[in-house]
Amino acid sequence: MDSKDGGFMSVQYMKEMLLEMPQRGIADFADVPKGGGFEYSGPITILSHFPRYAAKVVELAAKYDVLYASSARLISGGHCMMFSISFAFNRNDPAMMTRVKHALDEATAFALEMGGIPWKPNFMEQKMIMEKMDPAARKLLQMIKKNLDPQGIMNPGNWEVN
Amino acid sequence: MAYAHTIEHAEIVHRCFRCGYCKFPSDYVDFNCPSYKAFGWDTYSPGGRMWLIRAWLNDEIKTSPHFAEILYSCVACDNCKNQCVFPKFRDFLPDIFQEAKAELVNEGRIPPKVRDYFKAIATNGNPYKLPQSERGKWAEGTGLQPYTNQEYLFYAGCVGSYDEVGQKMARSVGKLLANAGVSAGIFGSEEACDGNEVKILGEIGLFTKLAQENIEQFKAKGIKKIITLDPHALNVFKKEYPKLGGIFRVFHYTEILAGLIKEKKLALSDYPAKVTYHDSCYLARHNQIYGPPREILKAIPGIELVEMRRNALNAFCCGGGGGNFFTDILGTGEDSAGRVRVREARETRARIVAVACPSCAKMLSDAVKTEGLEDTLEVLGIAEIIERARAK
Repeated sequence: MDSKDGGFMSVQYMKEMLLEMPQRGIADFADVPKGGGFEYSGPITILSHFPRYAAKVVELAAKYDVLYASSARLISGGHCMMFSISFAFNRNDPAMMTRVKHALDEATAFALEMGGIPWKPNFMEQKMIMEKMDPAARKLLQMIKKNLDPQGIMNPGNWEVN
Repeated sequence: MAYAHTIEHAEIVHRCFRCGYCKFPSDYVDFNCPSYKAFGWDTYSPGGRMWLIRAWLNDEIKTSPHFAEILYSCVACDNCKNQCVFPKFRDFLPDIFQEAKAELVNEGRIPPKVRDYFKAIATNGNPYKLPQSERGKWAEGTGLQPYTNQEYLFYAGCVGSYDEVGQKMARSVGKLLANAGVSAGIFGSEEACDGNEVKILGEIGLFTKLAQENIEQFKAKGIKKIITLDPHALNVFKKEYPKLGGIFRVFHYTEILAGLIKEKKLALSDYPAKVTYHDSCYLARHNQIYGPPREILKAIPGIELVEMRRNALNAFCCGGGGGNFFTDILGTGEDSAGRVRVREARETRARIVAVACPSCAKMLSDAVKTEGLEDTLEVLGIAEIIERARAK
């Protein structure tokens, strides 16, 4: 944090970090329920809210009976941080996958309530963001999409304003 | 009627997370999965194959020529088994790929090149469609005698018996064994295919027949110890034949020659050359034999042994495993395994690529020609290098 390098570090160093043990640990997490999967939501939020996020993850994991992992990550020059919330699931257990989906949706709703912005939002997260978005901003998004992609061929399904 | 696919390890296929570590070496310097390197699509990586197999078992995708080609593009190099992050689970990756291929065989939906390979073995006893009577011709002039209760059987295998490059390797080993006074005999025209590739390609019925006939023959002739030219044969003799009641002491020729050099039964002269050694997948990753070939090269006065960027456990395959030596599903494009590997060998500035497997020798020799490196790089078997050192 002192160097202001943040989560996005110089390419060579980041490559090492991406491919070294911490990431292997993430893969290990996916295998805890012996099922080869986890899904995460990583809202960018302010540091002082982190304790509440941490408590929420534990609460959601208990509520939905799923395994959780969480981590914090500095963004860019340290101007903000991400609180990453992960839930692991077994791909051979559809009921567990549904519980993970509900837990993640609830985590995203919580993050939006807290003023957080999901990182690389999935379809459901995009939908929730757009529902909460200022109507003028949503209209601007719609206008940009309509003018730059009138045929709807660029990333269809992503950021579709209905 | 729909064909219901099933494999022995179906219940764990879903555990693949597709994190992708399987396609790298330990230091991530390049892609280490030959089929992924050649085609560049995740479907050709171990993880991609796992997800395809799961979809196929769940009847979400149907058997197709493209699906079969993806499965058969795996060269069974075992890199994925070593790099997968999930302990225990990873040990079953090669089994899952082989079981899926066996299921394609059962369904009768294999690529034509694979079908032709099986047909040649079943009809001719070898993939070259050459007469059985010619199988032992390579041994003429080596000093090796037909097997009659000697200590060892020297088993040449299909590539060593019929392929021109393989025959050269077999002859060199044969001469050295004879000159050093090793008690070894050959089966010649009585030798049969070991079946390693047949099993990897999924024809379990044909493999079982070949293996059982070989085991019966070995037992009938009182064979206790076998020296193989081909690491593929070593692999199947060591790992698969015992399951069928064929328990023999199996050695690779480099292990025997390294011992003879240590015991000073093979005199070596000076042979100044910069050499790099290419680990055969079936000798190295599959059977953890890394030392003997290197010990031999280091024992030759004048040889400077330099390692390639990827070596030993992380060595990049020549592309000839998993039957691809015969089926050529990986092709000969710029990123095909053999061509990538000889470019890597060239980076070491070595003038010789030493190999311990006839399939590697052939694959890399062809790649040297395709890359136009004939004037700068030579592919030689370990025994051929020893012969050069002894010729001075």
